[in-house]
Amino acid sequence: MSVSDIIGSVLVFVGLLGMLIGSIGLVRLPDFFARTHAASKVDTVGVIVAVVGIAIISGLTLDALKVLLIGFFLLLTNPVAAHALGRAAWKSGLKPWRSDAQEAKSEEAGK
Amino acid sequence: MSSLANVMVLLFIVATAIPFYRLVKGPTVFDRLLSIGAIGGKAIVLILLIGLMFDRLSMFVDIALGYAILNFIGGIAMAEYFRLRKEEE
Amino acid sequence: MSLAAAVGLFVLWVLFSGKLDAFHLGIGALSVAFLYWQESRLPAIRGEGERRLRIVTTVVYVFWLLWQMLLAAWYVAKKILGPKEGLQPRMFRFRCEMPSQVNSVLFANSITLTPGTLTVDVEGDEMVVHALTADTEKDVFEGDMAQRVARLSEASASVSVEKLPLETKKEGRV
Repeated sequence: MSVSDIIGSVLVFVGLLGMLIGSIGLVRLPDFFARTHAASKVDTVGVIVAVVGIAIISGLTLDALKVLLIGFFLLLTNPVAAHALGRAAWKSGLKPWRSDAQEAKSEEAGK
Repeated sequence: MSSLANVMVLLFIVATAIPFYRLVKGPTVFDRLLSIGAIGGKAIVLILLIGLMFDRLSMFVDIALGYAILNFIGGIAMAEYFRLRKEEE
Repeated sequence: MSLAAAVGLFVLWVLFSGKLDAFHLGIGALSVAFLYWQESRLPAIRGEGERRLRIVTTVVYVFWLLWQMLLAAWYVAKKILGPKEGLQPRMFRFRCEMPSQVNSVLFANSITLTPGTLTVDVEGDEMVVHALTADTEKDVFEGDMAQRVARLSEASASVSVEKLPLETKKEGRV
C-alpha cells in the first residue's frame, strides 16, 4: 500500500460522494433545468475527481496519461451536452419551475 | 482495506441506481435523457475501476474512451432529434 | 484545419496507440490525412475570421475556471442537500457583445461552469441563462467574468452586460 494508492483511493472516494450527491439532486430538485445544474456540475466534478484518482493509482505510465485525457475530454464535453439538452428543452417550450414565494410575488405585481 | 472497498462498491451501486428512478418516472423526455447521461458518466468510472481490479487498465482505457465519445455524441443527437420532433408538432 | 492541428492529431494518435512501428504510424498518418481532407469540405464558421487568444492569459483563465468549477460543485451540492426554500430558479436574457465568436463560445461555457448558472440558448450576442438563485443572477450582471473572457483576445477590451426582457415565445413557432 503505497502513498499514491492512498491518495488515489481518497480521490476516488470523494468522487463517488460527488456522484452520489449529483444523483440525489437528479431526483430531489423540482424541475428539469434545476436537475441539469446537478448533472452538469456536481456529477461532472465527481466523475473527473474519480478519474484523476484512478490515474494516480495506476502510477506514472502511458495508461495514466490516457485516463487523464479521458478526464479532460469529459471536462470539455459535459457542459456542451448539458447546454444541448437545456436548449432543446427551452426551444420546445418547457417553462422553469418557480417557488411558491415567487409565484405569490408575480401575482401581486399582476394585480 | 477490504471494508473500505465494500463501502465504495455500495456507494457506487446507490449512486448508479438513483438516476434510474428519474429515467423511469421523468415527466419529460429531457429528464430521461439527462439521467441517461448521468448513468453513462458513472459507467465510465465503473469501466476504469474494473480495469484497475483486473490489472488490464491499458485495455479498459480504450473502452472507456469509446464509451465517453458515444455518450457525448448520442446525447447531443437525441437532444436535437427530440427538439426537432417537438417543433414539428 | 491548420498544420498545427494536424500535428496535434497525430501526436494524439501516437499517444493512444502506444506503438511506434511503421505499420501503426502509417495508419495514423493516413487517418490524419483523411480528416484533413474531410475538414476542408466543411463550411467555414460564419462571421469574422479566426481570432488568436493570448496564450498566458488563457492558461491563467483555464486554471481560474477549474477553481470556479470546484466552487460551483460545492455551491450546487449545498443547494441540493439544503431545504427547497433556498431555491429561486429564474430565466433571464441578456446581450453581451464579445470581440469574436470564439469569445462568445468560451463565455457561454464559462457561465455553465460557474456557480448556479446554466447557459440555455445563444443567438448571436444574446444569451438565455437559467440561474438557481438571485445571488448567482447578480454575479452574471456584475460583468466580471465577461470582462475576463473579452480580455483573452484583446488586452484593452471592455464589454457590458445588458439585460433584456425575456420574451415568452409562442409554443410551436420557436
